[in-house]
Amino acid sequence: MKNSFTLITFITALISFAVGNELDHASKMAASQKIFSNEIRGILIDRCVKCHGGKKTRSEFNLTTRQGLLLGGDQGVAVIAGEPNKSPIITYLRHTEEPFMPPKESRLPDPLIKKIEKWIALGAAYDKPLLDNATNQDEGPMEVTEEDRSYWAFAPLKNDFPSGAKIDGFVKNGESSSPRTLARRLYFDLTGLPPSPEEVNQFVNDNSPESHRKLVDQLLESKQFGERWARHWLDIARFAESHGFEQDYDRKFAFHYRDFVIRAFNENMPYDQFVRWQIAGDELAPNNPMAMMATGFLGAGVFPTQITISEAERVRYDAMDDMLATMGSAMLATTIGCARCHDHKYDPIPTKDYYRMLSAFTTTVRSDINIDMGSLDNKGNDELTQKIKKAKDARDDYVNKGLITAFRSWNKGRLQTKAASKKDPQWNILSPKSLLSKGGATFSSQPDGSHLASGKNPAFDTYTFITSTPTDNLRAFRLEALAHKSMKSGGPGRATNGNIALSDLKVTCGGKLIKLANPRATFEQKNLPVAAIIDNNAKSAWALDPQFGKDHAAIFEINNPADCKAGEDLVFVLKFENNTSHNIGRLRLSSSAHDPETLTFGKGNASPEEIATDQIDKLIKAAKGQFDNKLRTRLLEIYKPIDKKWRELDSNFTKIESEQKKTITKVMVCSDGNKVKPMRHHTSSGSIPNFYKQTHFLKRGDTGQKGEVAKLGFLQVLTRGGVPRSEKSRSAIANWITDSENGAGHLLARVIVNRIWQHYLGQGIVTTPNDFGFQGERPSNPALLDWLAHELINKKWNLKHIHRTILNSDAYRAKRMPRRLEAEAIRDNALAVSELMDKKMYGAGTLKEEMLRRSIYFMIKRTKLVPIMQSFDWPDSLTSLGKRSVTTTPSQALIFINDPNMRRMAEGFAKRISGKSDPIKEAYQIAYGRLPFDNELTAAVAFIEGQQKSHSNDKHKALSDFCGALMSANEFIYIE
Amino acid sequence: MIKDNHCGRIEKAFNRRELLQRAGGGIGMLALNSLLIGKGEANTNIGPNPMAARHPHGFGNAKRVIWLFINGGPSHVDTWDYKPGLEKANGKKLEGFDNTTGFFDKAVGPLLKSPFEFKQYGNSGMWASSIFPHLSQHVDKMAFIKSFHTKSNNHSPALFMANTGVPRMSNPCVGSWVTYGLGTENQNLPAFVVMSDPLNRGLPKGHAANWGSGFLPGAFQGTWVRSKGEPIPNLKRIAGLSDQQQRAQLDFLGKLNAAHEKRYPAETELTARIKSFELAYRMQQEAPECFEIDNEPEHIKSLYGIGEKRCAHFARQCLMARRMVERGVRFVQIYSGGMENARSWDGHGDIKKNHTQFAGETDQPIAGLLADLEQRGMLDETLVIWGGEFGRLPVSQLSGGKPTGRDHNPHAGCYWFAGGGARGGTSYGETDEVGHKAAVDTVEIHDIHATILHLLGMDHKRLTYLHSGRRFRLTDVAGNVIHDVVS
Repeated sequence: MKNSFTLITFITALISFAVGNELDHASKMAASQKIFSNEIRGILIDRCVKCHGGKKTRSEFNLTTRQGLLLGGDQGVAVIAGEPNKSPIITYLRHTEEPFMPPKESRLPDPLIKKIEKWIALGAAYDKPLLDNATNQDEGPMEVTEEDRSYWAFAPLKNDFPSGAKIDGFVKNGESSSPRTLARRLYFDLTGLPPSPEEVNQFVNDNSPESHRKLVDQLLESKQFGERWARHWLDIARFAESHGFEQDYDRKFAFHYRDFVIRAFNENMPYDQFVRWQIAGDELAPNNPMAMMATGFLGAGVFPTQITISEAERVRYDAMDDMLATMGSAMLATTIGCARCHDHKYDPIPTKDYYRMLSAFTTTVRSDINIDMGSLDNKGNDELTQKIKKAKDARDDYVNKGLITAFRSWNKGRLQTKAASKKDPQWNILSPKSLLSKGGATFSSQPDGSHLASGKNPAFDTYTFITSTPTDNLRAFRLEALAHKSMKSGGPGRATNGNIALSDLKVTCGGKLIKLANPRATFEQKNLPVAAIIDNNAKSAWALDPQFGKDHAAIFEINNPADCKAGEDLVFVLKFENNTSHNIGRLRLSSSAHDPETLTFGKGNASPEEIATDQIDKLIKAAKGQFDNKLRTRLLEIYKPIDKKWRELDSNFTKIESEQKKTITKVMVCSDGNKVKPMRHHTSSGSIPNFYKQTHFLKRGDTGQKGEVAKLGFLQVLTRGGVPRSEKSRSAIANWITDSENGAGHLLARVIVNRIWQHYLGQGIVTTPNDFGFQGERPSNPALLDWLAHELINKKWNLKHIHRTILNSDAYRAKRMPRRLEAEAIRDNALAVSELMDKKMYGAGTLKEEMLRRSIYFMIKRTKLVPIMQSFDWPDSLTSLGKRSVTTTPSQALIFINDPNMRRMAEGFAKRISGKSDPIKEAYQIAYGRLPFDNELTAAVAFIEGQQKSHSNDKHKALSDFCGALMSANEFIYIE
Repeated sequence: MIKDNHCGRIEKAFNRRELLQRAGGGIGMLALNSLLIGKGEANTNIGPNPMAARHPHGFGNAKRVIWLFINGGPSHVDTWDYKPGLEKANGKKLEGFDNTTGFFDKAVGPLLKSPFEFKQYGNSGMWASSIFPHLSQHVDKMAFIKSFHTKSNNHSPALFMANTGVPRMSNPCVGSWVTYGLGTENQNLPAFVVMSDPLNRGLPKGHAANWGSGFLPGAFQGTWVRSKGEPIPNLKRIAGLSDQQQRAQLDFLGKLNAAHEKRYPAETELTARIKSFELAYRMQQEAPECFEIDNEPEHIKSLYGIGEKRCAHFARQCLMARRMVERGVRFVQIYSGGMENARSWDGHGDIKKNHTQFAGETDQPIAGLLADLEQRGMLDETLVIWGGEFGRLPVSQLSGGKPTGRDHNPHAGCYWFAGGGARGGTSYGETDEVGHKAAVDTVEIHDIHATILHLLGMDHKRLTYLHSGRRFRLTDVAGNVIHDVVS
């Protein structure tokens, strides 16, 4: 049926009023309502109500409520909203048709009738019933029923698939394409780049049955895969790097979201995590740079940068609507945004659901924040990446193998040593012969052997503590940073927040440097571990945020106890060079001759060992001799951090990992406006807030008509049973949307597998990829869609598994008509054959057309879309786009024949072939992956000869003309 | 559902399959102009020839449009909407005025009468301000709309309203809708051309989104003509390539494509693309000539005011616009003024100085354009529109404590139509006594859009495009043709 909707300019049914732009419809209704309040209301009360809903209700026509007005009476319909010309009431009022209204009275003046017409044209809105006791049943809430839940898109996935089902069981396919065609198809589909002639030939000459599979795997692992597929997602995410509207300011740090998508696709991030992080990465994994980058999704839409007072609140609701509506279209192919002003007209989405979900974004704002991207930034350092992986594997292998033996022997021995260790004080507190601060702080000795700093607190200080070595065979030192009320937040540091940052500790005994090992501490701030104190890096440090107001301690083992002889000068040098004034405020140093394994941090601070021992004791007691695997795993999990070997392996891993350069980078994220600094531009008044404290239900989407405060909720039609709601609202949405049992996860899966299918097969199983609702198309093959969705969820949301499944099917290999490449692939193809391409990945883009990087690195500025990209149907980046247009215009042709950048690529291509023994054949292989036919060869020879002659024998120019023609031809940008 | 079925014939003629057959069979203009293939999202398919010239629904004289966009918010009470009531109330406070109506709520001053003198002109006796000595001679050609009002008191949302019908950046503009509806009559020139301020005073706020095609295929977006250098990108052959050499290259390309096309005979897209290169080649030759105004006779140049320093830049644009519509360009939009404040008609600080300057820049050129179109017999088929995003307030905006400026006014504004079937010498709608709000026969932008489409022969309710599951219209769910301004 839908095909008959095929649209040509002026074939149009007059049904459009029902499906127009919802937002604008809202303002029509608002305008209508305004007319109503100002004038119509009075007219109706004066001239109509008496007989129609007041004392009497003649002809069963009661117009005290809008519902009654539209319902009509026993004479039929009186008013059709939006259609004054078709509303009989107008002819009654004009006295051109009986019954004349008002009866037995003079006609209403023409301007008043015109007003009524206008009011009806705008939607015949009421502000409230005409009489106080009348009920406006218009407000009756939409009920979501079981029938609604059984609509194909909302219904649970079918799961009665035979084991071993595959795509080709669901679809019939024609003959397979030739290997040469398939090679080009795979390279372009997976990487957006052409195969080199060698790559084509390798594939064509590989006769093994596994050749296709192998190439698929190889390309899925290539870095270019992410660059290709990220662009598909960016269309859906309406990604751009400027605000739009008035000034269209740049969002300089928005490109990190693009990089997130590339990385996520390359590392095959599970799709549920990919979705969760885009909605709530800042809540779910605030320490993970990828999770923070992902939140750029929410803030990628347009936003006015100049706001007047009268529009401020509407603008904020618009901004939240952009987040919610885009999430709906992109992830669920559901037009949630349509329920902003009234219950959704076609899909079972009540307005209440809309505002409940909207409330999740109440405090969500854009912000540029500093993030350490070090863990992402190993590019060009594969060796380090390997080392990190090796260290991590070594640690994790130990957990699987040796740890249990270690645990058993520890458990046996611990009861014996416990008693002994209680008798002697483990630690001998050292009292200094001198303690000096280089920066001029003064120390006062405390009764407990600690030293409280006061006075000067320089930006960077060095403490020198000199004492005598108490005994031979020292095994460990303890450094304590103790709390004190004289410091901010109770210390233990002198920084403005009470923190410390100890960057370096050097100990000498009799002038000999003592090697320290296995440091451990009561607490370590993220990325500022205790190991940093002895890593010979003056800038890295140990710090304690946010554990302020508590005593802290660090233990260092002495590598070679023989190095310390009793009576020798023992000198500790502590350096604080990491952060401004982060000097320790109350210091105590101790030594110990005990086995370091048994040492605890000391009084007042239960050591990890003590805590672990306690927990393990309780678990073992509770188990009453019943050990199962679960308990074993649990015990090992608790024991792990106190196992010496594990700690060694772990600290080795941490140390190597910390060799990654720290790269503090500004990133545009979306997060809670109470926690980050909201991005702000000029508004007409400083009093305009960045966000409002609460989100209200709005009548007709109008901020002037607020209802109650909306509490978090989900789309009822996609919610079964209880979905746990964490206290953080976007996390709750993220969990609901990926919950395939009780939430929207099954639809989420259907939508993404359909998108993948669409990009490989040219058309989705559902051909409206952004609308699975009633107005969208039905799936052409529902079983296949459900099976693919099922596969995705079963394989832990493994996207590459779906890619692979589709790519290895006969359906994908079948012969097909050529399809035009997208803007990026057209340009990247030209860049690739020219060998001018700069393959640098990630980072800020540019608007410059002469850029030589892949097209995904063009900056997307909404009012200055890069012309060549725009010419080839780049999305407008204003709303989510599931499928691009394909247009063919002369301005595209002008780019191929006249654009200097394109010419430069043709020249690069010419240079590439000019030294070859047979440049024409080489060129055909590069451009089309095949050799020329004889007649093509003849024509090419003749053309090049002719051009060379007319270019005064300049062969390079002739070859450039030739290459330019090859690149302009349909075969170059249409891939079969 | 279509009761009013007087264009059923046309509907039938544009059934997609028939259109394809026509294109394939080589009948008529449609096949000749096979230029563009469009595939929109979902099942939206605009047929193989959307850029081809097409017949409209059947009424209306206008074939083309020149919209003089008076950017920044021209003050209606200082241009065409004469308010004796404002003169009387000069210096008084406007009772009940909401200070947040304009942009600067802290700088609201008393009512300010127009600093310009108003007189009646022509046979129709239409009022005009003294800032339009030339245009006032043409009032009998103009149909005034004096009760325009809009939704936003802020430039870019109001600009988007005026151009696209919604106060956001999302929908196609009028020029895109018109070219989508009618195609163009000269395939060698862009169908929809936009010219902005050539004096480095910036682009209108919201920039290119004002002439963007939104969800319509990108081919329908306005082509922005640069005021310096090459007017349209890539019209010039690359350096070192002669016409003959390029011709040879295109002939060779033709051979490559012909061989390829044989392998996929049913693909109209491939054929369309082959033709696009020939069109490009012709455009490259014809377009520069269109922008070249230096060869126009002297009397024509001086008619537009090209010799006058104050208005030469706008005069050149107006003359260029005439040359374009003469050659079949469908829609031309020229922005008067750059971005905001003193750079456009945005007279916040000193309305007298501001409007004197910008009227001076445009008065003679627009008058010249009207006269020139008339003498060439083109005015009947060319709709000329004058109007901007909103009007200005009758109360003053204090500038350095003095009541000399005017702030934005979303409640009232003024437009006029000339030519193209507009009823000259009429005025529709009124503002209140002082010009604060549209009061009688109020008109919103959808009504103006509906009327523009009507004058071009299109029914605004039938010009739709299916996007994201909805049939969109330029006029959304509103719009009434203002028949009083149609002759």
